Amino acid sequence: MGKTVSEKKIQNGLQVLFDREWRELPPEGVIAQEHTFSDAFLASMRQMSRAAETPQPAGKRIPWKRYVSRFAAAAAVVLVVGLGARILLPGMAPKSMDNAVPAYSEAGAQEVRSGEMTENAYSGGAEPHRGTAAGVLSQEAGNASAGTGAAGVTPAEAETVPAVGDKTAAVRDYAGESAVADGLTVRVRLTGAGLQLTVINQTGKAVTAVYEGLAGNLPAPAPGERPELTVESGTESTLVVEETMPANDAGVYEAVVQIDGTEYRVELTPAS
Amino acid sequence: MITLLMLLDSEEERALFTALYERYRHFLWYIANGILHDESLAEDAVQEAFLTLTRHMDQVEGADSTRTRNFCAAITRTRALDILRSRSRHPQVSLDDNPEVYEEAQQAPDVLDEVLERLDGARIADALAALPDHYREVFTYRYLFEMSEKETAEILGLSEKNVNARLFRARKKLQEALRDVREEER
Repeated sequence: MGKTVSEKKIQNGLQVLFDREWRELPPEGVIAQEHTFSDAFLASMRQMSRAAETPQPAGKRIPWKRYVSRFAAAAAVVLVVGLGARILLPGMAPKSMDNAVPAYSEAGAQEVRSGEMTENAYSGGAEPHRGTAAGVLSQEAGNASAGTGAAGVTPAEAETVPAVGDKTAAVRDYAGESAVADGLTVRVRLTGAGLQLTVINQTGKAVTAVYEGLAGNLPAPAPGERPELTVESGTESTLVVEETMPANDAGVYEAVVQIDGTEYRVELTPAS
Repeated sequence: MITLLMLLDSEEERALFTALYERYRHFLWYIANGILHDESLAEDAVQEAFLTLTRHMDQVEGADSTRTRNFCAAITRTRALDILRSRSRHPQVSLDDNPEVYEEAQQAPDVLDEVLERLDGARIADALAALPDHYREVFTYRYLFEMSEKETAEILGLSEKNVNARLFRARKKLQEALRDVREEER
């Protein structure tokens, strides 16, 4: 079937548009000077190019299976050694999740809500080797930086958390501001079992929190598979997501949660 | 990224893919950065674009062809817009994605042929440039690259019905824009 007049005309118009935009681009050399691809990106592409250019024996393809099996064997050795060490050295064994969750402290949360960073409100920095911290988000906090830290997590409580690296946390919406309805506090913690999302609800109505997956690691869980949490007013509830948390290039862990239909990005930044 | 080459079927495709990367990576990054204003995100968009390319290598004629160059640019722009939308606080949900629009499209008279007949490419290009991105995208894949509804839907992450609905709306928008141009001329 032939093209209609409008299809031909639009195709022609798009061609003109592309040519025009291409002419407006600076010369290749100028762009190349302006931006150098990151080392990791270039290395992976060079590796790819080399693999493509490497002559293979007739009828044979690049031996990906061999590479994959070697990697799997190395991973198995690391796993066995790690498990062995945990069994032989009881001090390294992870403690139960129940113990890992610190009690919610209204005093600590209040301090963060009011924007004051005190010892009660922040444990990640005060005890940098004790493992974890939690983020707190509230309307009163006013900005994301005030929400960084752990509400109600005292250093003593923080000690019970499995050592998975030192983290501080901040919960931000996509505009970079911490803004959830009055009376709602979101606390995020990274533990050996995965991501813990605690919602403390004083809004006077029930809210629903949905874990949407890790930012930048699409695809997100299917709608029916998204861990969901309904929190009645006057209560708090914790959702545990068993997920490996890969950091992004900047070393920041990012997850996405949805609370009452609004998406928020949760950032967990390793403490300095 | 090395997995990208594993997705390609033949040595020829792998060689072509590598040539595309070497030829266009800086330009594609420049296009993505113009949309995202973030160098790292622009790199992500370029990587995503190359991943999408592995699934549409049949559209690639040769590394130096104008059509190939435009195709790579279009895909990069789409992936950059995807990243921009995913980072926006309120993701845009277009009313055009309502499949009911598709039903409307089946019945409404289309007079775009008439409107376009007397206009030259430059004038039409001006009107296309003024269209919102999501309308220009659907035109680009359907008309410039002559991709099927299914292929267009796959690249844009829409259903085929939604592609049709968006195409219908895009034509209406273009028709309105061109009508304004013609009235100004009188």
